[in-house]
Amino acid sequence: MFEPQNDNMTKQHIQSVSRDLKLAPKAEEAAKRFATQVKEAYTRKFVFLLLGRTGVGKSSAINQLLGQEIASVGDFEPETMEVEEYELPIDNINFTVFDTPGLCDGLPSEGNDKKYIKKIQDRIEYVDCVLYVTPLSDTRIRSDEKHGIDTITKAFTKDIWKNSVIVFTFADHVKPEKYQHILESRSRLLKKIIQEYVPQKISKEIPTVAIDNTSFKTPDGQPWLGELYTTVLERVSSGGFLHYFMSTAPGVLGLEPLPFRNKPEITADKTQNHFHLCEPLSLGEKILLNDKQRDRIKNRFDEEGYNPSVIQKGIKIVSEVFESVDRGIKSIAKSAARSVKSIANFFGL
Amino acid sequence: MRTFLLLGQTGVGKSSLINSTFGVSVAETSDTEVCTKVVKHYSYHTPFGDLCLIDTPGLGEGSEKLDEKYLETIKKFIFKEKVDVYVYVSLLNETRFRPTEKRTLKLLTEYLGTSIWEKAWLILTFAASVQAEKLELASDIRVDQIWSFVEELNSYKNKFKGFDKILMVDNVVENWTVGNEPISKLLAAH
Repeated sequence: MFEPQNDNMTKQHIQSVSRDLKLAPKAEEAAKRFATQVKEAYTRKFVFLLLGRTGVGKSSAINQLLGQEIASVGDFEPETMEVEEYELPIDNINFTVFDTPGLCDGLPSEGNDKKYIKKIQDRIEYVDCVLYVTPLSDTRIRSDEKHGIDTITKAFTKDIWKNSVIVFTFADHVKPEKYQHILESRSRLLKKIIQEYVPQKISKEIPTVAIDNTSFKTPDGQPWLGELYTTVLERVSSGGFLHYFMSTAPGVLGLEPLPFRNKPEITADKTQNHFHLCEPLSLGEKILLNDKQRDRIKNRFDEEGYNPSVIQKGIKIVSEVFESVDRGIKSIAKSAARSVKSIANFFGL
Repeated sequence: MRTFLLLGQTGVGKSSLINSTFGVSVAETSDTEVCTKVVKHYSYHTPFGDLCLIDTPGLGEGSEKLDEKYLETIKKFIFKEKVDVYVYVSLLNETRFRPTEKRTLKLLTEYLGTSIWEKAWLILTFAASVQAEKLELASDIRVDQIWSFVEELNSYKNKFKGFDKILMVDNVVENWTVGNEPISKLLAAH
């Protein structure tokens, strides 16, 4: 576990290491950047933002992506537009999930939209990845969702959509023979709505992934978890991309199993006057990637300037740094070792 | 001939219900896009008697202005035509009682008057996508939510006597009803 009393020590140590690294030869620039980013993963939070109406399966989607249960995200009836924050460390890397209950539910904000936008801006410094969650089986895009898209664009500017993925849930609720058609049509219509607020060159790039809440396969027989994982990895910010891979590769991809699992924190009891259409899917399923998905992930590494030889050098730097650590950050050193080992494993190094 | 006026949010399956009732595709429908923008009559013979179903534009599609425009059209229609049953159509596979649905119920009552609830049926759609063992629970929750909400509306307290009939249907799995009876038979029955 991440021990708060060691937090300062960790930061100081990493800062001093970063200074030392600046003295390294120029040729190793990319490798150094890689090593720095690995170390920064333990001090910088990874931020997910969830958008979508209440009860559309936002928590199931994020739980499957992280391989762990984030306390009951969205499991209550919002009265006004809120910003909720959930924190979860995965192998010493801190994740923050912001949920926006009420935002897409057509609810009034406390005060007005401007106040809510200010609240979002005050609470959320940056976002690494946005998941826009909406049921595939929805027959219309209604005014509540349109209002949510409008408000979030005003709060973060159009650029927020560059790190976004549209997730269609409840794929099993459409007829299998209509699945492709509905997926295509829902994607087109939703992007058309987003395009009312965001330039086309951004909106048309937003990828869509359909997932199912009762099975790990979509109606066309394709496993969706690897596709969702890969798509998210392609879209996360440059600043958070490596962190996301590092924290999920050992456990979620099963490249270097974790020795422990974190228990979710229980949040305050909220009224529950709704029902679930189905039991949640089991967690802890290993994500299996096919060759194409592995190539897409390697491409993303490449886009960040990390080719296999850079990564190999970077890993060497990281290992040297963490070999000589004091006891205070021993658990971080172990996590880092595990993460870089799984990166090496992934690239066959 | 019995005349039913269908009311509800956009996309809940009002037009599909008409097609399911008559067993032919007479009303334009879509899985993803708004279709019905005007009030339309559909009168046909069925083995169980003649039926007239009136389709109306669904609420919650866009701006409040658009909803108001639709409501005015429906209001004008009600003023000059005789309606036997007001059918409120709602999604059974919706896990929450959403603010947009509350708004719809509120607007319908405000514009069309509380009298619509005096001869009202409730038809719950997309029932086949709710697991069989959860059907009763889902409908109980939904009926209670709608009922309680209508009861609370503008000094309507204790006056709402409930729905004359509650049906569960599905238009995706065509003509599927709880109890396996054809929809036309259920509508024609007194």
